[in-house]
Amino acid sequence: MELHDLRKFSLLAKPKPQSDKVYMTCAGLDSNGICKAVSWLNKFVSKCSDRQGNYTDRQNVQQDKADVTMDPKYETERFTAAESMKSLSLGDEAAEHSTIEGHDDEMREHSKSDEHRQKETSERARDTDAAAALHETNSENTITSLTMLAPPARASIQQIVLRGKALLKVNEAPAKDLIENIWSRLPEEVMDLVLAWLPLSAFFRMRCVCKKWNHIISSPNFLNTYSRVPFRTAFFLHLIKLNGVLTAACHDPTNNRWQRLPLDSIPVNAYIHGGAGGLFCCQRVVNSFLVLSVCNPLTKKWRDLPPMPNLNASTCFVKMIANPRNNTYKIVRVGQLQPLPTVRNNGARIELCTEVYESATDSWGTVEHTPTDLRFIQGSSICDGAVQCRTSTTRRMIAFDTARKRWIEVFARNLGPILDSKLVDCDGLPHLVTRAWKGGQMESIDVWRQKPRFASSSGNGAVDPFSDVEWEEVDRMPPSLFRQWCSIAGPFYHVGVGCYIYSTCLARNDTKLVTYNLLTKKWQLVEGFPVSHINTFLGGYEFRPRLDAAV
Amino acid sequence: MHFQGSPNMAEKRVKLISSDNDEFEVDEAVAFESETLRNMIQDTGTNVPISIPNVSSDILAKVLEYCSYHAETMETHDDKPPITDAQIREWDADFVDVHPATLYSLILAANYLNIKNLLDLICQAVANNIRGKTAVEIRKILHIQDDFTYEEEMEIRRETKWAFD
Repeated sequence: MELHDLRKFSLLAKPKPQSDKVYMTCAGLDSNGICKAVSWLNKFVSKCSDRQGNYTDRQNVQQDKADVTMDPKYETERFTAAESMKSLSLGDEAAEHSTIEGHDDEMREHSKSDEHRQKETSERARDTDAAAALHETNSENTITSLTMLAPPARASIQQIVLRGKALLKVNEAPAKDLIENIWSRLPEEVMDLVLAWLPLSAFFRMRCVCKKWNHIISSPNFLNTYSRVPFRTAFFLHLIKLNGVLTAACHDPTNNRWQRLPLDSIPVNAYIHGGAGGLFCCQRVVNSFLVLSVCNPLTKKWRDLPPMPNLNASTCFVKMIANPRNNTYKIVRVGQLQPLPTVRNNGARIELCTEVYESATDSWGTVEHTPTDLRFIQGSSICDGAVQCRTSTTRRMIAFDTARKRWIEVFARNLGPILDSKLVDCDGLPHLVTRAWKGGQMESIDVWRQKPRFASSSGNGAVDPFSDVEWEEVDRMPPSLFRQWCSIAGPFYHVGVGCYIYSTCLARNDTKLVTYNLLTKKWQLVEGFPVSHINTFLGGYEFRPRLDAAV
Repeated sequence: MHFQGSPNMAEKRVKLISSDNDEFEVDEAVAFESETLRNMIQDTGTNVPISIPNVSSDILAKVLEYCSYHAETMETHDDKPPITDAQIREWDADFVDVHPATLYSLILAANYLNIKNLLDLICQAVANNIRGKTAVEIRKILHIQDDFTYEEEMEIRRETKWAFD
């Protein structure tokens, strides 16, 4: 019996859930052929067990007899082996017993139209209970039985599997579990790609598979592969201090699940200004000086930036702009200069300063003429290469041109000086969340959207980020949902996360979240908020995890 | 003389030979989905049949099915509405809904033929398949030796735990 003869032997090595038996459908083999097959398997298995020698329950197994049964309905002989293939050593005899003469001729006849029969059988196999069992087969069982059969002669099994075309067709019955140990033979770069496609929580769980996988996040080859994978979920991060440790409750809007993101790499006394491209920018005081740092919470890499030009200025706001394409980022910091002590307080001019850090050159630059309105900033958003800032006092937006490093005022059409509005970033399009009033009572919240600007036909095709922008109201939270969400009139805050706006109403024991999907225009109450201690609430952020983001 | 449908007239055909000596003939555009084939064709031209020694005919047929569909989605026809992204996604999902053994052969073929989108598609399918599994199950499937001490493993589990207690 040669290996290739097994092509006729459609190997349906799929155990049933409880019985732990291996079924084989023998198509186009006469009884003689089956005997050969059985004796070949015998040798194969005895070789396996010689090398392996560690079958469980060996004694029990030997007592189980293998039997070959004829299933008249399908005209195929189904060969049933006991839990381990070891039992096949008794199989010769059994096979002979089971040969039914009447069917023998029939089988021979069929073997003439071998091709045809195999096809037929493969179709039938889908209908048989053995195949049906595939659907319900619990992965644990499947793996156990196969690993017994396969490891000592992995290559040969693989050859069999890959050789027979008919076999392939049989195997195409949808089995959802990865059951073949062939996966262990994947080239390393392909395995890297598989790991890169894993969702983050699964990826981190896989780190305890082996030492190599644990260290994979520092492998340049893997990070290179990882950076090619385009799609990354944006998470919403609700940052709190839990038992003195920074903890982030992390919500994935695509599957509506809460997770805990470990942030133990960030010092407890650091204030997180926000982040971009998988990085966070934090500020802390070291030796009575402000220090800005950048960290990647996934890789736990962390770096202090060089000292700012205006060290004595207190920070008004910090915005980080990431460029994932070349793995660089910029940080814009607006600070308020301390009034000089010689100037009388009421006459003191308030002066702001703007500093820009670029990771490509690892240096700070300063910008002249910072609008003083930026003290009252109510959110910022990045759009077409400009940082837009909203201050409630004017009908204008203030935008920072990151390329030319200057501040420009942008007239916002349709937008009045609305109090308590918050500018949020949603997939590169600024949105504004405002309060909606009715009869002096806050009735709900509105969402406004900045109409996208299109490139002028006369220009060079680029969008001018500083031309006038038009705003339009897109939606209002249904008042019934609003009352449910804001039952206790606690403070609330809004964060743009991908195509979602997260609105959080903080309350001591009953913090509630509502998401608004900009694409489907659906409002949804988020259930199961996992933390209740709002007195340690530190902020809400968008987080786009990237393992390859370098600090 | 005016030829109707002239854009396709210039289309060259490429002959491919699988490991089991089956011959396939496809449009050049289909073969060009594969970076490896593109390089080969640019070196040798379309007259010489290209043998692909490590891909069997059934797998090659499946790969070419993918390439033809995706080459087709690139074309624009005046009479037919363009294929939407959603349709492509649905087709792709159907395409990878096969037995793991087939998926494995496809992954090797896509890697060898350097068809980036196909490789991404299959790797994503495999990742979806193993995402719900525990570390112990993964070790079993991939035959990976557990080389941690108990303390080391507990430490990593603690560090990488993303769930709330």
